[in-house]
Amino acid sequence: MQMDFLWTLIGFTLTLLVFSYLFGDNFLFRLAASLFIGVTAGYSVVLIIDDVIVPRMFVPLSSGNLQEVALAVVPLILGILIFCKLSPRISKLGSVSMGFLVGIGAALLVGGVATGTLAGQIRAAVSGFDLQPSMLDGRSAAGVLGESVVFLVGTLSTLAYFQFTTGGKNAAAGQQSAFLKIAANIGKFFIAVTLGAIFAGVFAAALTALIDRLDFLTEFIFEILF
Amino acid sequence: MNEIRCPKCGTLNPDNLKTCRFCQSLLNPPKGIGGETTPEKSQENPPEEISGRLILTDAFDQPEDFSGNNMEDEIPDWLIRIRQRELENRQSEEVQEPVIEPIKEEDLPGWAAGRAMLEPPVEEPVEEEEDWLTRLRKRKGLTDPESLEEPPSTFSVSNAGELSDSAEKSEELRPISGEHPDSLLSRILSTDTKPLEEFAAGDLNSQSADESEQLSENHTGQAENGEFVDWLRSLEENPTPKTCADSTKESSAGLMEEHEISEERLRELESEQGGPPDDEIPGWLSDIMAGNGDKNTADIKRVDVPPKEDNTPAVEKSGAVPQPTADREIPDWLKELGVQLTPPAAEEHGSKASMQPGIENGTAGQDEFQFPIASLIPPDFKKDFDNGASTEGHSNEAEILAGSAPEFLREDVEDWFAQLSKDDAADRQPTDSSAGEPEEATPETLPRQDELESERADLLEGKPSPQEPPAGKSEPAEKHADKPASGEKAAANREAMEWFTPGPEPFKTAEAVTAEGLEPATIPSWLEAMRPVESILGDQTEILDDDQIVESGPLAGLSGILPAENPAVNFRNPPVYSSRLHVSDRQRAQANVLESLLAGTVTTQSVQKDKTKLIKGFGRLVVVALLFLAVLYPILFASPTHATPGLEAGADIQIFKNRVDTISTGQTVLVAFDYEAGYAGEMRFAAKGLIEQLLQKQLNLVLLSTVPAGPVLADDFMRQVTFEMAAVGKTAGRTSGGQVTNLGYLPGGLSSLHELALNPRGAARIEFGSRGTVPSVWDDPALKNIHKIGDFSAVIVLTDSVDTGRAWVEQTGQWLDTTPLLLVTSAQSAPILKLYVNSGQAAGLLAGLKGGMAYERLADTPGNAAAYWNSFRYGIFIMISILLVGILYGSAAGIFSKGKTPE
Repeated sequence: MQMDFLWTLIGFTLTLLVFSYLFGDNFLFRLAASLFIGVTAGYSVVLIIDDVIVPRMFVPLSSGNLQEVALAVVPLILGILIFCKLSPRISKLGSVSMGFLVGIGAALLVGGVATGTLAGQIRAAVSGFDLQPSMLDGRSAAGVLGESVVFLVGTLSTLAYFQFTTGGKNAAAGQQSAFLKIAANIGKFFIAVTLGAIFAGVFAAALTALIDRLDFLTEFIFEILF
Repeated sequence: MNEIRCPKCGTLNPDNLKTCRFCQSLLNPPKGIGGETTPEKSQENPPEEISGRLILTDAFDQPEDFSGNNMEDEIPDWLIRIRQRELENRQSEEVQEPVIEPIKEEDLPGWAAGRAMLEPPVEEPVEEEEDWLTRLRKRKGLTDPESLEEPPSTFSVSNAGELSDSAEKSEELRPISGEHPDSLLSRILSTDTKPLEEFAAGDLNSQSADESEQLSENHTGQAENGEFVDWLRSLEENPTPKTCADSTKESSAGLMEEHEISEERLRELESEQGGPPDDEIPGWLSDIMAGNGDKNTADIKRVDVPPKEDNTPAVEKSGAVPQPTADREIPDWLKELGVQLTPPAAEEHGSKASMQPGIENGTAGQDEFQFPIASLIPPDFKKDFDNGASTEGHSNEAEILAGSAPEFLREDVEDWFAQLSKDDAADRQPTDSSAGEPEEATPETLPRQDELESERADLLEGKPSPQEPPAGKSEPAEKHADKPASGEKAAANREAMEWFTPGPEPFKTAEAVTAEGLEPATIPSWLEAMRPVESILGDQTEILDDDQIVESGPLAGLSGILPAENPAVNFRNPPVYSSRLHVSDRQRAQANVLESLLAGTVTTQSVQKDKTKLIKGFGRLVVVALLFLAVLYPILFASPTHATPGLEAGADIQIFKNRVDTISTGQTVLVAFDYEAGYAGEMRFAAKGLIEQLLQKQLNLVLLSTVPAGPVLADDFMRQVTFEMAAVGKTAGRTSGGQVTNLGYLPGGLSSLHELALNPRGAARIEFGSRGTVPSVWDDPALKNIHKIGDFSAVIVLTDSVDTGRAWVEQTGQWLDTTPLLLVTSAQSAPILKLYVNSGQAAGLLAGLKGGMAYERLADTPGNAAAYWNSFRYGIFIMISILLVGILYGSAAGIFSKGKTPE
């Protein structure tokens, strides 16, 4: 109970320090920010050592299991080679590890985007015109169709807005076709609406955080007072 | 009394002196070079290239430095021979009259030999001179010295209007080169019946003032004392290139013949003019007056000629230090070269062709005092000089002369030169006026001023003058001597200008340009300010100032040697450019205005900054106060039973709840806490109802995170939920039969997610905080049947980031099979992640406080949704209101600012 109160008191104090920014940038705010960054960095190091390096490399190496040792040696060697990047003369040795990481990451990213986002969104844009499932849910066909049209137009116009190349007759003049210009302008509208929604979400998230902190402060004050 | 010429400076000194009274050098240096030079060697001819020059210069009068034996080895033989011969010549000059030996043609260098052929030899022994003059006196009855006591030397140049005629006649009296004095005398007597005094006076008058003065003195005092021979000897000893004196002398002789200006008439003119006032007497004249005494002063005052004409003979006659011509008339550039020129009055004979051999040809003739100046004259200057002197006419010369002459002389000089110009123009006519009767210079015969100007312009451009013969067609020297052409007369006038003008300046002075009517060039003020004149002209003097005698080396004892570049001597500090900026009044006024504007702007900014800061700080506090009131009021005073308008659960929340409801009790659900600590409050509101429902359903929860802070936040979240459920009398977690397992941090990002989808046991091996010491969590009964991600009953992702939510969808979506992927996100990432829900890739979405409160109400889980939702509503209202007020204020400010802009 005393530890909980102590941690709550620390939380209360840090919250007030952060709120001091309402009066401008000051030492208290910088102290809280620096403390937060420092604690996060320190915690991350400890977390990686305790939950990644020790259990995933040293424990298998010391287990005596040949298979686990062999599997642990590979990341050990690749990890050591990454340290070669610190020296310009032997930095090329670290390129093996970096190439391995970048290659794996790029492959997963491209594969995930192609199969998870691109294909999924194309399918969603088309499936909206399948009215039967929606009608089964009790929704009107006109509403579902209109919603699908809006989705489709929004998707295409947004893609048209990011079309920066030209072709055909207007290639020499370096101008886009009239149709593409119209589509781009419509796409700008959808992009503006999307950014507005995101901006509202940011406001909402910040307001929610404020509510959480004020709720915490009031509870702590009530706990102290009553 | 014999005189000895100084071997260094060339000054004549009495023979009783041992050192030069001018340069203090020994007058009788040791004979011989090294004392061992044999006469045979001295007879040998020096090298061709050297002999023609060295015998003409005083520079090779070797001082005593060459007697040293240590220098003997370094001196070439030819130089020794040259020096020896010079010494011998000097010794012979001391004993007998100087005899100028003509240079043999074979001794001249190739480039000078041809020129020397054109120059008639000068053969004027002193004895013959004496006889000639003596006979002349006798024949004219002038043996009585009293008759020469007052020569008509005061001829005024105001009578120069008739100078052209006299010049024409003077051509007849011009001694032909090589002509014997007797023949010249007979020719004079045959062509002129005027008294010799007039002839002599005309000669003298046309020369410089001092020259005429000297001649008058010779006619009077010296003739009386029987020193007439000395005068001629002095002239003989100082032969110089024939210059303007000759031509003007001849011209003035004819002039005197025409007008027969008597001594009385001249005195009358002088008395009428009253003579120049003392303050107008130039410096050179006052010096002479001061040095010569009253008699000379009186004589000089009678001479009414341009001051630049000359004064050296008078100085020599008076016994003063003989310096003058070289110092006063030689231009600076020539003076710096160490050239010593003798007075022009010393030139008595010789033809035009031999007037300036040293200057024009560089061959020097036989005159030992002539210096190969042509080799030192820049070619451009020489070209300009030739063209300008021969084409500019006498008008410009008169102007220049008038500009440099005293005030009382200018008018006369201008008239005199105007007549000279006319005379020159008349000579250009293709007639043989030089041989016949001189024509009267009339306006018809004279070239017009514009013609002269055009000719001048043509010659300046390099076009040949129509009066001048083309190059390569020069007549023989004899022809020139017998019949002086108009070109020679022009050359004589040009040479006269050499003595009249301050110096052979290649460029006209500003006064001369103004006198011609040409507008002087003007440089803009800004360019004048930028012109680095000082830096460019700074070291001219240092470079050319070499009036020193070489003390060592093969050129020891020589003067006038161009110094080698000496960086140590020529070193100077880098020029300091003037930092002064010429600013006009207008620019200064504009600068002041700009300065005041800047000062006012700075002051205004400081005031506005303070006001803005206060306004911003006050506005910030107002906004914070409003938000705090809007948020705290529902929390402090609202009850859970209060209405929550707008919190009705929508279809998406209903769908989400239906998906959760399908999960049976005891099944295992994977919950990912992938959000940062800053969004913990929002995520707590969004996911608290869902987690409470899962706990109430006694599901096995497997927690993990792809962000480092996730495992800690997951523990804290579960602790708070458990605490709240216990507070309201409900149990959760292990206490209710369910099991919560925290697998901790899942490193590797996308690759770890992909591995988790394929092999959860390999991706997350240990429980968070166990360090691998405890048995594998996968042996727990709740996780025993989990081998891939599709084996979980549901995958719930709590994230605040679009990228994290998309990564879960992309990497695990195709491996989920029928397992629903439920997203609980922050409000800021919901608009993007909503697309995956609409596309069916995610089963449901709970976003932000509204989604969480709606789900809490829908699931009927314990919580204070009404208070938080009302706080959220009021806060959103205040924020939107503030935004609207800000937008209106900005618009109004823009409108009013546009209205104020024109002012």
